[in-house]
Amino acid sequence: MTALKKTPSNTAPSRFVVWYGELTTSGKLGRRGWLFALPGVLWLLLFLILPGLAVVAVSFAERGQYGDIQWNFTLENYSRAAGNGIFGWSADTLLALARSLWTAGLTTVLSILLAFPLAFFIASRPEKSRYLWLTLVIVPFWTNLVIRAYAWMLLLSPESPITRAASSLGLVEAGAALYPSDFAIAVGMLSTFLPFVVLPLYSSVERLDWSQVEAAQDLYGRGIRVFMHGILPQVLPGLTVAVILTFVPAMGMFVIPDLLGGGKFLLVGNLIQQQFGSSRDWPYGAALSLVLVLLTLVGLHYYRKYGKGVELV
Amino acid sequence: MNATLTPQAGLKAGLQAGLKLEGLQKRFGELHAVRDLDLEIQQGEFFTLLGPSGCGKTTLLRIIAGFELPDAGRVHLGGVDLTGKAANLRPVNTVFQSYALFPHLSVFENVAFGLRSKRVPGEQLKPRVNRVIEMLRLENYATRHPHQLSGGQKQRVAMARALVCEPLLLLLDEPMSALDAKLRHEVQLELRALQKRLGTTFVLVTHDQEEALTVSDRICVLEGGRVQQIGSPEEVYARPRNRFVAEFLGAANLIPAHGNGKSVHTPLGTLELAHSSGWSEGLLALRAEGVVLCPIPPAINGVRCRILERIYRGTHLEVHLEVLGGVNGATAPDFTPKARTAPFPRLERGQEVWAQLPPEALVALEGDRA
Repeated sequence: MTALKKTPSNTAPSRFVVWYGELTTSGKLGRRGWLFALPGVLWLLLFLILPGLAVVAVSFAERGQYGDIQWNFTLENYSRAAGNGIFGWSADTLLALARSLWTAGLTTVLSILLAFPLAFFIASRPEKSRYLWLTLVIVPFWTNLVIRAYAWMLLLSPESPITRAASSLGLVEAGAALYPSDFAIAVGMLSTFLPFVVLPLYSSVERLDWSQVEAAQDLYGRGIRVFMHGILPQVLPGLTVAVILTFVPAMGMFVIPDLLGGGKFLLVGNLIQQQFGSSRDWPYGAALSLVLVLLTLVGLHYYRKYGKGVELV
Repeated sequence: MNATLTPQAGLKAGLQAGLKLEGLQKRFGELHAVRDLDLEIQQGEFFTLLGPSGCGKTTLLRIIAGFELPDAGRVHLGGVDLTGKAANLRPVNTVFQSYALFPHLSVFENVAFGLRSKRVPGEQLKPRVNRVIEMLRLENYATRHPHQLSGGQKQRVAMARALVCEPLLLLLDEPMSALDAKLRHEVQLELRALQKRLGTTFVLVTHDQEEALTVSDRICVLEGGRVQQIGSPEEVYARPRNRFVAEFLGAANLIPAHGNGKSVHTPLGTLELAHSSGWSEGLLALRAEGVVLCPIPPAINGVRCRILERIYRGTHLEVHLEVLGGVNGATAPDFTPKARTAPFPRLERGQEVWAQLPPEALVALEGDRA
């Protein structure tokens, strides 16, 4: 170590390393690493972090008379988000938030329930046809979300074969439409998010170590117990990705509930969209957005906590 | 099937044999993994299924465990037909090749898994699990998770996890293939001692002939989904029944011969046998260590040779021979026998010696002389 040049005391000591045949020091390599990361860091800074900070700033501003932003510090937007309005407290905003949580949670759970058998089905196909099945899962993405929503409107309209089949089974009144309804929202949400669950889940299922499943059976496990100990811990990484990819965007979703729910129920996504759109109330919209972000993070936190529990129990 | 008769009861009554396999068949598409297989394993014995990869030994083990359904045939344990029963309904436990420990569970919980599945109450479960954990010297690791264990420790957890269930039959699927050579030998001896102490029937699958010889009471050599030979390690090693068994268990010399009786004609001249050959044309097997090298012509089955190669192996000397003249002056054929002797410094390359092929070391093999 005495041969090494002394490094300034404020930086970590630099060690000699060989990097792809080149003799260099760890410090130099670290600096080069930053250089490579710089474009990405700049991009994130410009287009994510700065706008994010702007949203935070705007959420504490006032709305001007003509929908402009008055830079007077106020907490009124958050107070409104909590339900306090000109006419006193109302539960409307909180209900919208609760409905968003409920819709996103339900979408996530149902998607997972549907995706599990699908992922196992695809993983059990011969290797060549697996990619065909995976492509079929992705195909709906080749069309725009709004167009897909309109397609569902047609499919669920009173004259469609699906609706007729449903009414002949007595599920709906004759001549009634399946849309707008909660059912139509569920159909739209599931068809939108299913691929986000199937793909990560499939990648976990494909690598499943079946001997653990067999070990659970060999040790007298049945049904749920085999699943909980033989399968779930192994697919948990894929499941976590699936939950994040579904739950987070579903929390802010407004197109599907709007089009297929007939605008009957206000979700927080709709509310935010209104503020930035027709209402021209950016400060309130920003506050609502941040509340949504916060709620989503809390939701994910609890998921991770529960997920860790499954990992360690 | 008599619903009240369990394998446990059948065995306790002492009326029934241990494991009985009858006419088992299993195909995977083109591959005929198990063909017309009949096998009987006594209760309390250490039985080994030995064969090269693809011989059907693992498939057979999986059929016994209940992970595969045979296309035909029956699996009986203690007189009870288990053929259609799921793995979780069989009093049989498995030690998997990759151990298949549950990564999210501690060593204690891994070992307790089977008892928890059976809903054994806590006050009974804990001492039972601890007893097995102590038996396999895992006390200090009970709270660890599998990723914090060495290969040998994982293997012991896999054993403990299966043994705590007190199975009538413990199946071991190449449990030592992931261990290094030195550890493997230790574990083999431990495994054997454990089996003798518990008296549980062990069925081991391996492709390692030395391992099979070390641990087994009886060995079943498998090839092409068929039983080639069943016998004690001594029987299988010293008296191989056919060419496959002889070669798989390391016989170095195969000599084509013809003539029924105790005296057969070979390219090395007429050789005397200890037992009648039982065919008119076939192969003789002779192990390298069966060849006796001597400086003077032996009284019987003596072949004059020159040493082509002398390979020092520490415990023994491997000698490759060139035949100069067969028995009773038969012409020297194109045949280089291999011999194995104690390290013997006077043997040098190019030296001429006599090789005796002792009658009791020559084994007449069944089957065609390919």
